[in-house]
Amino acid sequence: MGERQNDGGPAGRRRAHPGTSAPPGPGGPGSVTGGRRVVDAADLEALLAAALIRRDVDAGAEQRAVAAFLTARESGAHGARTRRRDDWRTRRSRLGRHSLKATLSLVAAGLTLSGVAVAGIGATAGAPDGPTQDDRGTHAPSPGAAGPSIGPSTSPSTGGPADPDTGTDRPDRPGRPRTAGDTEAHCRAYEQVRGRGKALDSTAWKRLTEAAGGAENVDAYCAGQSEGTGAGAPPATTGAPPATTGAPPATTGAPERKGDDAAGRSGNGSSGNAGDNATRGAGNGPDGSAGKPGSPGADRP
Amino acid sequence: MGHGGESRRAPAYDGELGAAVARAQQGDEAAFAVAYRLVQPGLLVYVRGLVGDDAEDVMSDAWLEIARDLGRFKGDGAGFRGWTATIARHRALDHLRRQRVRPRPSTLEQDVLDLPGPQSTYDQAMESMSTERALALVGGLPRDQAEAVLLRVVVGLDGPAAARVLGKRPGAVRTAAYRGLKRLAKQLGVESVTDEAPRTLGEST
Repeated sequence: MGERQNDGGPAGRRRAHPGTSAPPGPGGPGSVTGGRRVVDAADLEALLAAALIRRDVDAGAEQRAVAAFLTARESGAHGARTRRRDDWRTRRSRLGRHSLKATLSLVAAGLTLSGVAVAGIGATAGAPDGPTQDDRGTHAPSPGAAGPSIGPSTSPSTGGPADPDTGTDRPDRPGRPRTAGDTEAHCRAYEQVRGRGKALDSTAWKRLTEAAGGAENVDAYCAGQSEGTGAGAPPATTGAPPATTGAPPATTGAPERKGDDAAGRSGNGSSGNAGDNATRGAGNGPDGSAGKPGSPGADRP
Repeated sequence: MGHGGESRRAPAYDGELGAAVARAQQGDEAAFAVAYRLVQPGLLVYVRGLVGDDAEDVMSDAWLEIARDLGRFKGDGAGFRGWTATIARHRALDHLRRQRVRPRPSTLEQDVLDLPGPQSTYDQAMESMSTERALALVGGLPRDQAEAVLLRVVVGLDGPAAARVLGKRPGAVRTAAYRGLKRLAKQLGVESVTDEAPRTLGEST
């Protein structure tokens, strides 16, 4: 108690003020009023801090604080969760974290929405097939009785002999026709979307353009697709076995198709069917595939 | 007693303080002691401005909480000042709430009144103001001004941090600090001219 602040450094700095302000009032008393006028906030703060703060720390109090720290460390209290009032990071760093989070979520939302948009393209592409849906609806019951799922429903309806083969083919058959059908569907949608918006920049369109060998060739490529010539080649290698089962359902449509196909690959039937499968599947769902065998043939002519 | 100009140098300590806090959060008790020594003197003055002679007890309680919750804290050295000041303030307000049941006059002003007032010039006042007189001067301010001044001058907080400690808007806190400092300067000037420091002090409080 009662200690006076008399350390050298700050005092010397402070002394400078009355000195500089001395001229207006020569002599001791004069410097008083001059010094009073010169007071600025920084000097006053330095004075107050110097007068108020005592650097000598009570050793006992420090020991108690450290002991409390050790106790908390042993008890694992230091792993506690940070509450809002414990977060004293500068606003800028917190803002930075937020903006990063916001960016990531925006990117994720953008990807999701663009995915929806592409899916929507497929759905609208299936719409023109409206009339065929009626046919399929009538055809559907027979395979549907066998089972609602795509693969199994077709093979049982066609016949028993295929069963051993279908066991291995089944994984291929839904996949292979679907890619062919996608191409066809894209071709149809391509005509509708062409020249509008940026939909043609999407991956699906790029893939179509690449497959056609350039944007100007898309029409020709699609024309070939719709007649079943283009898609027949790739699937043919694996397509042969399923063709035996696939051909019978195509009874209505198959004759024409086979005539078109110079290669004579039975894969036509399956690919043609699949085309409808996929296009309808986009709008109607998986069970739509069951009915198509006959419908594609009926529609095409 | 190596003190003087601490508030000016307070920001310079923040790097060292931040490093000590980070090490203490890893479990280094020596680093915790370093942080204690850097922060405690200013906090003690601030709390003394709030609760008077019970400041040591209140700060002892505050350090128990600081030591316990150190793992929760996130921030740098300046942030640690603000965080600990908030805890100290809450403990001080709790103490005042308990004390309100049996209020007693603060002995601080009495001590000051008993002191001789040798300051005849502003220069002398600047050089030889005692801790008690300085505290009495600050204690004579309205509560919001005194707190704003102490947080800024003694704890070394900037405007936004002091505002967060006090739960007020930064503008209000800045204004309070400005008015408080202005009033203190006026009092010091009046003292030096009239040479009647004790009476002036008594009036101001």
